[in-house]
Amino acid sequence: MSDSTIEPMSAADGPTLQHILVALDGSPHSQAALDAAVRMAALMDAEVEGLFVEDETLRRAAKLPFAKEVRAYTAPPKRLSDRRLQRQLRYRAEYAEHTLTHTAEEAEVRHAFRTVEGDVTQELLQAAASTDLLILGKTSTASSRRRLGSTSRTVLSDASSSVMVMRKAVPTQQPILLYYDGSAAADSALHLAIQVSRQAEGVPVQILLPADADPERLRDQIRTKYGDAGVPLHDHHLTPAEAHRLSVFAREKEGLVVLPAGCPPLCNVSLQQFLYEVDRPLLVAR
Amino acid sequence: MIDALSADALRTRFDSSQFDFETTADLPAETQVVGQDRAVEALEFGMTIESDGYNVFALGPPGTGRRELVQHLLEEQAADEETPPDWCYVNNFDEEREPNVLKMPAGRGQDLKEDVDDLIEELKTALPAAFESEEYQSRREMIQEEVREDQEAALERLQERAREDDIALIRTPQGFAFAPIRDGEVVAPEEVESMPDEEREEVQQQIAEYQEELQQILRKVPEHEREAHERIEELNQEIAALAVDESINILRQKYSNLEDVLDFLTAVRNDIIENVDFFVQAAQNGGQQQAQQPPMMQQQGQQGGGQQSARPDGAFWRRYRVNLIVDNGDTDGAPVVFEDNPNYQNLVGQVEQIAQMGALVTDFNLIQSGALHEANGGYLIVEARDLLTQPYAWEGLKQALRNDEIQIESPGQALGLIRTVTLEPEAIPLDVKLVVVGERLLYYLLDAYDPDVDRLFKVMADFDEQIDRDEEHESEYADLIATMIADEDLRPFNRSAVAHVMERSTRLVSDTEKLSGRIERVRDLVQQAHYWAGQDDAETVTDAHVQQAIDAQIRRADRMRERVQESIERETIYIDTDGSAVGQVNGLAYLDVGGFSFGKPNRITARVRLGKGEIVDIEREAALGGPLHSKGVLILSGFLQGRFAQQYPLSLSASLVFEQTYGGIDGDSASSAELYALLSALADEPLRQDLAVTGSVNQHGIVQPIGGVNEKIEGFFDVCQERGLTGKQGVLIPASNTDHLMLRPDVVEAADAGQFHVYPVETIDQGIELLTGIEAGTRNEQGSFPDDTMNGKVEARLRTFADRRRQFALTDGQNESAEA
Repeated sequence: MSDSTIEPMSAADGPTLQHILVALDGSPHSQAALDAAVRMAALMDAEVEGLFVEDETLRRAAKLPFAKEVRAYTAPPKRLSDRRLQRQLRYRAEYAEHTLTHTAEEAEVRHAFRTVEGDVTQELLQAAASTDLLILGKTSTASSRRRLGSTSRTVLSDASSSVMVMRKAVPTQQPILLYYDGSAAADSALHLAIQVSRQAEGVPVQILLPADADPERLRDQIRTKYGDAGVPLHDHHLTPAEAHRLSVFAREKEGLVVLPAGCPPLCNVSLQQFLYEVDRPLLVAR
Repeated sequence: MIDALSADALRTRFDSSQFDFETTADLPAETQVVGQDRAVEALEFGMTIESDGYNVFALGPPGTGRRELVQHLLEEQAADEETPPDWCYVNNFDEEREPNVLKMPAGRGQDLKEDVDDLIEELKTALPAAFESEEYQSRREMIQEEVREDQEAALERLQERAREDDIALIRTPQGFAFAPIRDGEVVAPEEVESMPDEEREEVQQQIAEYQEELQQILRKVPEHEREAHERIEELNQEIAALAVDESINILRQKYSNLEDVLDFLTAVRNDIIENVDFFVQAAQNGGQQQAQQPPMMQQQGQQGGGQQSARPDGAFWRRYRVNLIVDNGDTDGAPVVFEDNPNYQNLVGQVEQIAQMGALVTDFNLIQSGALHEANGGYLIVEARDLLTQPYAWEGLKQALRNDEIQIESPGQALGLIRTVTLEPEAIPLDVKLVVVGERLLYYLLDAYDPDVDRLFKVMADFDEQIDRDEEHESEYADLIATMIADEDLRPFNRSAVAHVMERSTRLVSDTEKLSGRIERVRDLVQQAHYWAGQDDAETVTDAHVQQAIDAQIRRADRMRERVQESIERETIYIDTDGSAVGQVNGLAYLDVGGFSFGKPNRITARVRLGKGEIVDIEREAALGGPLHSKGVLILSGFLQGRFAQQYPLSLSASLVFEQTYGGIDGDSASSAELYALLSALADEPLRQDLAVTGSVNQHGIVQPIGGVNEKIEGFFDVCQERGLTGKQGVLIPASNTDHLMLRPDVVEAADAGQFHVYPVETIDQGIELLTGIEAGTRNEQGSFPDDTMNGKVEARLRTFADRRRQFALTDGQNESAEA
């Protein structure tokens, strides 16, 4: 940060990231989410909170007298008892907490952990209300990158906070890709991207300007708000052709993609499809 | 009485004016060999004949320059011959223990080796890059996705159908479960409890059916995985082929005329594609574990599944390399190889091993060529002695020659003693002319004991230690000396120096009609004369330098001779050089100590008495005399009986001894001296002590030639000179040895001044006249020797003995005491 006139603006304007919530379920994707959360928290000096949700539906199903579990690799269905399920869930929660503690302590990040019981999606949406950023894995199973779990889908579209989903951790040095359409969410996204970039020793932020917008106006807007932000900002005015195949453009690199909530790419193309095609950590800013 | 030889006859002079050059610098210096026609012809025959088994055994005494000459002749011959091919070992991808051999036109082996190294370098980056590429990664994931997609779609369909029946598919920590739902919520257990039995049964039944269906979907998972795996394999091979084929095809074009190389390149391509998992794994790991493994030999690499996760490193690539073991790229004509350490491995080659984690491992890259490989298509020279002193080297060499192929085995393996894990490289056809250079004795022993020698060495090139001396050979010899000088960049020799070297050469063979074939010794002399000329700051080497070199050689070697001379001088060893004595004569012995030979005077005495006709050889009785010496003494009896005791029994008893000898003695060269002593004792006439005698004698009293005549004369001369020459002293030599005289210049000088004499003696009678000054005498008409001759006196004495003996026998010894 070299220009003193910018500082009060950027510090006061956007939200500062102080609390990061990470959804933990013991799956590989959630491990990646945890890594990303801890790394982000280390950069921003924020606190990480791990949340483990004991699935209420599952608990109820287990209480049914005829509940049985079909496992992936053992043939006959097994009796699913409430007690056994509880034990499994407890074990999972303990494992999640242990992983969180270990990872966070290694990075010297403040951390907390809690377990709640209820519907996973509902609990996450509720928790999102009281956090700055919610990070979660794409699915809870070790699935391919194509599918976005129903929970992630709902949280991405409905959560009140910024949400980040990912399949695998990526190195922080990778450039950040940002879609900027001038909306409030876009400002918030840009603010977040600049913060991340600044903390990560100035990774470049590439800003994509929509094809149908006046690029000069958006550039002015960025300049007024952020001026010389002390990080390398590059903008690129998308051509109409690129706008439709934003994913192709986004695929070139591996770093974080930041999109403002409700922006055309999220609306026009099916979000699921888009996420499949980029396979980069995606942050929807609000 | 015979005359002494003139001084001219004592040393053959080389007339330096016969040479038409001033110094050796004027000579072409192109002569490698003089004489030795027999050996050269044999070598040429052996080199050019094509049939099997015509290898050459070049035999002759050491120092004749056999080996250098053989090498020179072979190189001349080989220069016009065809250059043999290069040989490479490459991996046999089907059977790694038996590497394949590649035959390449000369010089192309190196090309191939470099090309393959380049190919490896290229593929080292190209292959991993291909597997790290976006295209590969996405195609690979696509395959995995497609498979999972099917499965997930099936699950989704099942989920949908179940939902229509108000049944939810719920993920559990370890799998799936079905539960009935109402209004999107799983029904509470109490509600189920309160259901009518029939309805509950129905729900349960439905759930059971869905479970069955789910199980079927899940059961297909491994099958799908396998299918995905197969499709990925296909993809891998496709990608690898894309990355490899272009580079390989360029090489295939370059070597399109070499079938074997094309096969090899195809094998490399197929093997890379077969082993493509290495690169895939590496790419999947993002190359993070690169080079963390110790270099692995490929043999281990093949077995050890554990290292699959590592990126393919140098050890992996070794399997594709080309081990060029014979590179004839720089060879002109056929190779001529002299192996100076012909042990088994150096001849046949070997498979080296390296220790890795405590185990010895190897691969075809560690195959080392031997001299047979290097010489294949050309000529190999080895020294017989070196070859025979190396264990198994002879056997190994013969085996290769017999089989016409080089099979690399360790000696232990060849003998069947050791079976370690090693390689059995494909044998290389062998086409080599072998020349073994060695002493005659070795050849004769081998020939006697090893039946293979006849079959494998059909040509014998026999080098002579002597060269006939004629004008042509003399001028060649001069050029040979010039060649030595040119080869070693020595000072030029002037004419007289060359002549002096040739005189020395003649002396070395002790024959004025010959020159020495032992050119090593001549070379030594030339080098040393050069040294002395250098001490003199002379630009050219003269005869004085040559003589100085000879004197210095003798000086360095003659400690023993000097001690002997000193003992004589101090009269520890009794040798008289003046006066006369009965039954006593100066004999001459010849000693050879470590290549230096000299003559030594030796007193020989004889005593006679009445007896039964035997001559006692004290040397023999004391077991100090050798068989030849005993033979010489027995001949004396024959002579005496033949000449004097035709009519009456030989009734003497004589004893002969070499005084003051403390070691053994052999040879018959003293037999004439012994006979003179015996005759003197019988005739009771004194012998001159200022003369020394050498020569053997036969039963007819003819004096026969002996060896070392020069050294013997010089030995006596030295003693006389030390005491002061009287002008009467001299040596009696067999007349037939006159041709061998090559005496030292100082002896010749003394003879010229009449101070010392050399008498050529043909018969015992001539000798006894010289020694006693009394006529020997011949039988007159009555058949008897005149009384005042030596023979007459001897005969009279013998007759007296015979009479006494007869009388003694008649009187049974009554008169004996009075007479004796």
